[in-house]
Amino acid sequence: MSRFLAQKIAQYMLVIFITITINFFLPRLMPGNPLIFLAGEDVAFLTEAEKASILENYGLDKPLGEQYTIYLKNIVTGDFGYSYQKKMPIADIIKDRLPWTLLLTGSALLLSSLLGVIFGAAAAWRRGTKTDAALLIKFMFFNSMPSFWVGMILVALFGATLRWFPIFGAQKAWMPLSGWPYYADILHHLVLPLTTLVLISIPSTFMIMRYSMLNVLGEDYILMAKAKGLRENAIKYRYAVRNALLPVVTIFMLQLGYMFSGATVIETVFAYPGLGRLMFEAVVGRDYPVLQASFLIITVTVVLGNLLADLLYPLVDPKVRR
Amino acid sequence: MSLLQVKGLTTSFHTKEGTVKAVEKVSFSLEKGEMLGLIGESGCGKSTLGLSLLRLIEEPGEIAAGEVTINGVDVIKLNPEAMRKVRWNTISLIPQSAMSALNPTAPIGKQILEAIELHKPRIKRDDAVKKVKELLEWVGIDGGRWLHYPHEFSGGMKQRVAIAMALACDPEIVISDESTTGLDVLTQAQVIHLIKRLQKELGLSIIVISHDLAMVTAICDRIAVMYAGHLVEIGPTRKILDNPLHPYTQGLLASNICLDSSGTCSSIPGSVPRLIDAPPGCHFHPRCERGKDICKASLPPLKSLAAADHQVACFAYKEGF
Ligand SMILES: Nc1ncnc2c1ncn2[C@@H]1O[C@H](COP(=O)(O)OP(=O)(O)OP(=O)(O)O)[C@@H](O)[C@H]1O
Ligand SMILES: [Mg+2]
Repeated sequence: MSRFLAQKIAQYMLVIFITITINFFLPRLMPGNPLIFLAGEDVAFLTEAEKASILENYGLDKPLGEQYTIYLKNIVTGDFGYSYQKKMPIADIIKDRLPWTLLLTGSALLLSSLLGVIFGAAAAWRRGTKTDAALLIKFMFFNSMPSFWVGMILVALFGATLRWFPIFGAQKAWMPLSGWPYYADILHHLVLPLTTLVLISIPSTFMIMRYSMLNVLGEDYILMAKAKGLRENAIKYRYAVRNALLPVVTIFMLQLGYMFSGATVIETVFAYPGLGRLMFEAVVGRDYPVLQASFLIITVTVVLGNLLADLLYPLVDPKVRR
Repeated sequence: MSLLQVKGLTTSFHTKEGTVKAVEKVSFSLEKGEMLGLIGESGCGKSTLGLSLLRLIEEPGEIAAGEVTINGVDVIKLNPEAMRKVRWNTISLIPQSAMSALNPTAPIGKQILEAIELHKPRIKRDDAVKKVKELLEWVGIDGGRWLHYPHEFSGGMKQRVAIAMALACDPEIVISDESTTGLDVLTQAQVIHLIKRLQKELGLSIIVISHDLAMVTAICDRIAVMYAGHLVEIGPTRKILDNPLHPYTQGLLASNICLDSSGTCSSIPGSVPRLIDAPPGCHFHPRCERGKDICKASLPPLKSLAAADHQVACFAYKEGF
């Protein structure tokens, strides 16, 4: 077991290392003045001394190899540079933003997987019936809707018209709360963006689960379970759902990546102060260092998520257990 | 009264192209402690017949007519809950593909255990586990491995696990559907030996479904021959071998003799008809040398000739034919 663990972790560390390296070289391969890249269009208003200090700050006057070592060292120590637009160290900005994105994507991932599995299993169990067809059509519908559009419909309906939920931000910034009211407020703000993200993420899990379960239901061990006289629920859960879950876990890993791209759009629609919104702001403001750091953080998070799913996979599939 | 009595059993599959009567008007009986061989070409409805006895036919199939009387109770008429209790308790199955008949995500022992605990709710966990281990030992598998998963066993071992599983609730009837296909000759022999032991030591009644004529004739007391959904001949093994009556049985036996390297190898010309919306008569008549007009028009009933225990469904034995 421990050897398996060490092997997996080593594999993923290698992936992270490669990501970090690409993240280092990519901007350096781009044409143009690195100053524009670092400081944005404000560069026109900078004095020569300021320009030199930025370059020195980033060690851009040093040879590439040395830059790379410095870059690695900085990342390990959590130093992502400075945002000249927000006038803050990037690490601090990310520290503010990352928890919101993790909250949004994490809960959306869990919720959409859970609901996708439940609905997928229900549809497959009642294959060919009206329930099956209705579920299929609904999820196909959400699958084909652009996420910002779903978000805007929810904003218009539950935010603007019914006024049930706030449509802006992650908490009431002007009213310091603590204890339960604080969490309730956060939850209240989370409802609409979370619902949007869940709605657009369920379909893929639903499809995979439904298809996987249909396959499993045709297996001989299901027939044997019936022959043994097992009750319907035992057959459904202990046999069918249990086995149909295997491919879904793999999809769970892939979903993580989509989740972040979905979150970028949704955080923008709902002005949710996460990493996705930060990237949007960075693109609009040409704040490349922030963008670069966000990419890195997201990639590393996705890779770590995959590692987690990979480590959990043996729990569902005895074949790969050690 | 026989342990199992099947009367006029008809099982159809309603496919898009039409209705397939995979089993049509089949009647036979099975005595206590008897081993009955069920033979016939691929697709003639053997597995369907076996599953029908357990009422395991699913959409788009249905048991369209007939009675399956076990210990005097027609199980076709039972409600689903009562039928659920008959399964495994009275009649169990060693499936055609035992390799894939085990749940890959549960330990083999647990799969046997669940059947025991389901049908004997009052049994103590320890006793049930003990029984599981005994069953595994009985089929030659180390009882200590009861918590191992299916993929940790070889194909032949899985087959034996399936046999142990079939015995979990001390059933009276076991249906063994081609339990030896896909195994090497030695493992086949082991499994067959085990099935024979079931009958001898446990006094079970067994229906052995197989293509392997040599095996069936070696171990079965009686043989039933199926052709395209119909039971065409049934009788004691000796009588079927020495004096096959139905033209199909004769052809089947003749085509098997070539395995004995006697030099003459015959086969039945033609092939099994597609059963979709099949005509009412004897399905064998297009391949039959003795076919007459009456064979096209109506289904010959299963009838005894010289001996009461040897029955055949063929108009050739009708007077004035
Ligand atoms: N689920 C189903 N849907 C439609 N037709 C079916 C279904 N199951 C079986 N059949 C049809 O019923 C007929 C009998 O099939 P069955 O499996 O009983 O044959 P078999 O004698 O067991 O063959 P084999 O020796 O190859 O196992 C075949 O023509 C088959 O096409
Ligand atoms: Mg079969």
